[in-house]
Amino acid sequence: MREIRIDGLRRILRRSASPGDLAKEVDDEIQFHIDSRTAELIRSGMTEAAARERAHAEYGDAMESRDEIVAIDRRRLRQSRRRERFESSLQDLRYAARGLARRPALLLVTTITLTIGIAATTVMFSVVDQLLLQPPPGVSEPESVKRIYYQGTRKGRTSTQSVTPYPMISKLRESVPAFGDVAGSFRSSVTLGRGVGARNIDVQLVSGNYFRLLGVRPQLGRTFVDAEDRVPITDRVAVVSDAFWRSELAGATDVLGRRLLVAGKDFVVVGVAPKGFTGIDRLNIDVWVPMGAMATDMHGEGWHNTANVTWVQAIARLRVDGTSDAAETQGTAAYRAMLREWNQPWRDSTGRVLLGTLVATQSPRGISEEGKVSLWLLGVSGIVLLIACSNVANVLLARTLQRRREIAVRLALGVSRSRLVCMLLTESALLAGTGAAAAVAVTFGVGRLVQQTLLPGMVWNSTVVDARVWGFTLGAMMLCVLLAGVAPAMYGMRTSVSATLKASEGSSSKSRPALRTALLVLQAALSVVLLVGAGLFVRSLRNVNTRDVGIDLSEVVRVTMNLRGAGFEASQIEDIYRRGRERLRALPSVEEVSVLRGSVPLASENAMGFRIPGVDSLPGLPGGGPYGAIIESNFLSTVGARVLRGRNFSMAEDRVPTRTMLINEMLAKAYFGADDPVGKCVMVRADSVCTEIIGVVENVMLVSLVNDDRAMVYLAARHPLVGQATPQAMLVRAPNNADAVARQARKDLQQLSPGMPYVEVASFADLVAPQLRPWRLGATMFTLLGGIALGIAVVGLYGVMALLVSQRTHEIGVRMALGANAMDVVRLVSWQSIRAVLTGLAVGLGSAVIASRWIADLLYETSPRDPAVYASAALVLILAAVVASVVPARRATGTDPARALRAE
Amino acid sequence: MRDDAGLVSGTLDLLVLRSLAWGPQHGFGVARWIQSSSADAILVEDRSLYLALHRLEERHFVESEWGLSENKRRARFYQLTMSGRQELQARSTRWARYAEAVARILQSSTPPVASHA
Repeated sequence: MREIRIDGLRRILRRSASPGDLAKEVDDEIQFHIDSRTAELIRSGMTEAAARERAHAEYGDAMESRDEIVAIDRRRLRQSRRRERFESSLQDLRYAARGLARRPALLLVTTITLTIGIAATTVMFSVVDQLLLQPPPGVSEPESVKRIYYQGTRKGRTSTQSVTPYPMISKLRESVPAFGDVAGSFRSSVTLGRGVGARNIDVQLVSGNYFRLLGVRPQLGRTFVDAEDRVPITDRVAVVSDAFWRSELAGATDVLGRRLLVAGKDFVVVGVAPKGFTGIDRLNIDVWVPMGAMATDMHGEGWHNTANVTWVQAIARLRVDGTSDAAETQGTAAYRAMLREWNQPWRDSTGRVLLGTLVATQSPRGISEEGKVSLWLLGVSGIVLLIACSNVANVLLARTLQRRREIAVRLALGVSRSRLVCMLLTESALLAGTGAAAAVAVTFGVGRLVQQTLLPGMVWNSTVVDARVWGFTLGAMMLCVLLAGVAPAMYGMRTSVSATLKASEGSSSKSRPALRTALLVLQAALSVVLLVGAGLFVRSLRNVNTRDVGIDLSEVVRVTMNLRGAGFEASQIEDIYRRGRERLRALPSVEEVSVLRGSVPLASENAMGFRIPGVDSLPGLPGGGPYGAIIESNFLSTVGARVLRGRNFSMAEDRVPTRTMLINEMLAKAYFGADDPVGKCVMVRADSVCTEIIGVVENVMLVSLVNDDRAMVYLAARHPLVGQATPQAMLVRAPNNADAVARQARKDLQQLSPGMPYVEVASFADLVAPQLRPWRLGATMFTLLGGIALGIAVVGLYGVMALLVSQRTHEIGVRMALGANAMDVVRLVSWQSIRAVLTGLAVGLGSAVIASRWIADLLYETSPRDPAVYASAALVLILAAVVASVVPARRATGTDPARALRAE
Repeated sequence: MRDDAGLVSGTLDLLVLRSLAWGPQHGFGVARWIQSSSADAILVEDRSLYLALHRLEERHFVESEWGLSENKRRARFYQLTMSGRQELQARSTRWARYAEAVARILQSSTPPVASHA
């Protein structure tokens, strides 16, 4: 039995009451009174005229009272209409809920798909919002604070830098009237404490006016004063972050005056930064110190007036009457004046100063790779949401079609079409509302986890679901209501009463379900786009991972100890490294230990002067340099690099001073071209005697996993020029057990001396992980979301197929009775939906070809039109579609013809 | 001329509700009933009566429907609702208490006591 509510019936039977009718009714009522009274008076013996006059007089002012009464009635009518509307929406909601509750499986599946769609977009929005759209927390009036960039062109390459030598800061402060103030900062990782208990913390060196410029007030104590970033420093003071204060200092209120051993020096805590403030880059900072207190140790004595160390990041606050344009013009003039003074040939003397906002989207350097990938992921989650919505639309449409008789009856009984549309939209609203509520719950639960997994190291706002996220979710929900509800509502608007009532149950399947086919096409197309995206990222990740960078990443561990910073003398440093090497060699599964001076992969690059006798000027190198390192004979076997030509250093060269060197392939190509450099003698640094090139080695990664085109010179360990160069790092080869070795090594080395700074030990696999992040992010998230999209689309396809089959039971029964075999029926039934999927596939592949152009620069050595990727995406979709449509179709062939025919 | 100036506020509503307690009635009938049951002591201006009826309808104490009068004319009939019946009950009690109190004061024979504040 089908339930038919006839709430329209009561309304038709009830007298209609439009505002015009109201006045007429009141008039009639008064007239009746006057007439009755007149008749009464006539009966008591009056003439008709006198009686009527008397009746009128007794009534009082008819016109005035009529208006008053009509006003009262209008008010009543309005109220009752409002209540009726409210009651009918409640009724719709109850009815929709009851209808959906009767199909719990359907309700569950559609709600889950919607929840996934909304939750994915919501979580990605929270990432993008904080990464790209919101200024860093804690800064007051962030829109008038600007980041300063320097843009220059050298040898046809334009580069934009965010760091500068320190004197530029004072220059900009003095010569740019549009700036109210200019502050500098430098973030670094240093040792807290010493010896066994030493650990690493993030410290930021700031100019005295830094906190004042940002408008950040401490929650305890004070921040810095201008005098504190000048040299010589007398008292070393520090401001700690809220998180550091709570975890490291137990949140004690008497923390002011407490001493901290930071990078080997005693600091006095003078303040605690407010909760949530971590500088302007959303990176962790534990302790702030004035520049004067630490810059000498990091950048040398003359840091405040030398142009040779480029390290300070500058920010400025515009004056109230200053504009960015004026500041850029004035800043560029000051910048060029400073460059003329410095007279450094490697800087572009016609360079410009550019301003960027604190909000990361508007940086002159463009959006970071992570930002771009996050934006893409937001877009992709949006597509998943779209697919989920179209799924719900399909399901609701199917329900509406099943209910078309009921709808026609309602229309016949006088339910208005707009009321009917409301009723149909209520179902999508109910589903979308449930989905959105669940999505917010999911975001509360896992949002932070997703944020931290996607972008570890970034500092997130303390609340995951803030007002903006709520607003976004609400918007996504409204979108779902409309997208999912509009198709059934349109159907409701179009239904013709007589045609539907006359039609029999089975006959309507002849009408082309064009809308549903369109939805299937859309879902297939969107799924294919996501699958292609996933494929491209997976391929990129594989290409990056399998790239030969000269170091066997997962087999080599790097050990760095900042001994000089901790106050050790050169001889002590040599001693600690000697003992450290012995300890490491004693560890099981360690094969080689090699001490490195000069440049260290992923840690420091030292340029090394290089001259070929007889050649006046060497061409500039794309990656700068050449860079120099001083290595031992086992360096190459430790990292796993090969000698391409000539020979490696001998063990003897580790002990006996020799003027020999190796160069890398990049340097050989750049400076010697087709010539064989082996045997050539070149001058390094200010050496008066030449050094012989004994071999060419493959390129070993120095600064990054990709695009690392550094030209390298490797000097022999006892090259006479090396002199006082102290060890910078040790490389350890531990092929089977790098992580365990790294853990044990840290424990052992930390005990080498009571004054040990933090010993940083990490496998290269871990060190390059942040560089892999954009591809890893893209690959995992595209695959995940693409899989979800495909899953949702398959569920939708299955649902539509099941419905189609149930509608055509009669037809199938007839065909089977007439002798059609099972295969024919399966083909007949599934062909329609498979055709839709194939259309979608074509549309999707076409769109992917166009869309993939925009992710081309996020890919690594992968063509955005890689045919293998497109082919596998197509294959996956076709397989899924065949499974989803053949299963219900096969069930149809089990139909007993006799029963199907009797059902009519 | 009749006037309702003598009517204590809210009394008209009470009288109208009471008149409908006998069953559905049109406005004219209500007016007649009030006049006759008070033995012409209370005279209500007709327009005030109709205003009262419509106000009571707005507050859902009465509801109206068109029907046929005794002499087969179309007339608007009023009828007490459930909440109208309760309202009548409450107002009647209140009115009786009030009237009794006023009567008691009027019949009192003790003079006011001078205050010594």
